[in-house]
Amino acid sequence: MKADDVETTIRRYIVNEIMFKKDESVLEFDASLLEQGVLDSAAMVELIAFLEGEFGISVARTDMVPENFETVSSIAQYVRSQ
Amino acid sequence: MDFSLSDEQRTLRDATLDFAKKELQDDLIARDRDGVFPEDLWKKCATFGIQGMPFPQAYGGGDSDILTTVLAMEALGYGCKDNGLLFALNAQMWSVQMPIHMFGTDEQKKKYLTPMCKGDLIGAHGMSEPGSGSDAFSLTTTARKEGNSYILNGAKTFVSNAPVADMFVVFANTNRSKGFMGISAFLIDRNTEGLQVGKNIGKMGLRTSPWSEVVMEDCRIDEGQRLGKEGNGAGIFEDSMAWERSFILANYVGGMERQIETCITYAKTRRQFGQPISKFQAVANRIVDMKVRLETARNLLYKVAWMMDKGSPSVLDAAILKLYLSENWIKSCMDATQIHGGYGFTTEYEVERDLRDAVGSTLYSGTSEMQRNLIARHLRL
Ligand SMILES: Cc1cc2nc3c(=O)[nH]c(=O)nc-3n(C[C@H](O)[C@H](O)[C@H](O)COP(=O)(O)OP(=O)(O)OC[C@H]3O[C@@H](n4cnc5c(N)ncnc54)[C@H](O)[C@@H]3O)c2cc1C
Repeated sequence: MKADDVETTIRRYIVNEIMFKKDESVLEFDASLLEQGVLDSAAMVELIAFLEGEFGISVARTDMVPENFETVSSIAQYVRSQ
Repeated sequence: MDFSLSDEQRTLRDATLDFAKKELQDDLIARDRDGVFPEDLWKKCATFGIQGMPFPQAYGGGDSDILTTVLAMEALGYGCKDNGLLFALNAQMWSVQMPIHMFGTDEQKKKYLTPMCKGDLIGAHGMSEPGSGSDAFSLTTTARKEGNSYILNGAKTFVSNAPVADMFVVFANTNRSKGFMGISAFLIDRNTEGLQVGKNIGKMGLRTSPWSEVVMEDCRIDEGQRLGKEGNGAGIFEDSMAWERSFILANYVGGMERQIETCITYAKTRRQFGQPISKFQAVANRIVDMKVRLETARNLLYKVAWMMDKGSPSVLDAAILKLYLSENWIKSCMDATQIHGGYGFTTEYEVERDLRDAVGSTLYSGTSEMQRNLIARHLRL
């Protein structure tokens, strides 16, 4: 998967499955998912399951910190670092 | 698939059963009535190795795998009728010791985990607040950073073990703007200035396990008392809930077995209409249902423990186990009371106490409704 595709895939999932919207452009790659309340604890459980299934990684609970989950870009960076 | 237990597992289970039958017996009816926490039994459990069982030897633990630990907890539930004591032990093991083990620094483990394994220190877990229970992450307690310290303000409620605890794992907001990821976890010693522990709150069951409010007013702690990274509180809480949801009810599998034996003995001895009541199908069927619940619950419990040992914990299976075991423990307690007739309603027969103790199990570690929500989410409903 190309680097940019990671961002696009994550954004598509968040927009479609968490925000229940179709138009992916509603979410900027660098918009704060936490401050805008897009990602709450229930959505986080789903997002982690998605990341683990889609990218074959394992998200440790020690990694559940804002640095890794603040924006689509930071999530993508985290995924790549795994 | 292999359902057999190892020799080591069988030996430890049998030794635990023996220990519970010999050492964990006292005048429970009186202690339950008066709501007295058994400090001496707590110590005995630590000396036997209960509190330390799944934790590393380096911190005073027994290095047992999770399935072995669960077998020992089941045996405790069979041999010891004090559900309050067993609840208090579990509350500390899964929601205080485990997060310190998983997220603590070496220094924090030496300070807290080692003495807890040895029974020299009691810990409590403070998440729930008067305004936030199921919606745990909407907590309002704050921790403000000031130099190398945090200053905590807020109130926790329903804190099991609090009246007898020496330290508390407390969750607080360090950055509200980050939502649930603005929550951090802290380790607070009881004697810290600004921390007040309330009086034991009376409750329906589990009366030998005290609980209370814990209030923090400008409670200043050193930065080194933070557990894990700043903002990792939700992750720490989710992790300790995964352990608690999975194993806090393990004792009740043993309790169910003991209860079935008690009911069989009673039903075969008690005679009405010229025959033992066990000969009435309506009575026998209750015991049959109790047995089916026991075996189903036991399989679920062992599966979840086995998955944990394999390093592939399952939120779904743990939620199913918690939901099933808690609701069926209550049903079996109701059946046991009914089988005993009026005697089951008396304190002396010690059947009604199990029922009172059981009711809380569908509330703590996530209510039944919250477990169903979790399962529904996994089914993508
Ligand atoms: C014996 C016992 C020991 C405890 N020990 C501790 C402890 O040591 N530390 C600690 O922090 N807490 C502890 N608790 C508190 C426990 O975690 C909470 O009671 C529990 O999370 C429920 O919160 P609540 O009581 O505020 O009820 P609420 O959250 O107000 O719920 C009330 C009712 O509404 C339902 N409900 C709420 N939200 C939903 C939803 N989204 N969908 C469907 N139904 C919903 C609930 O299931 C419940 O039936 C303990 C509780 C008990 C009973």
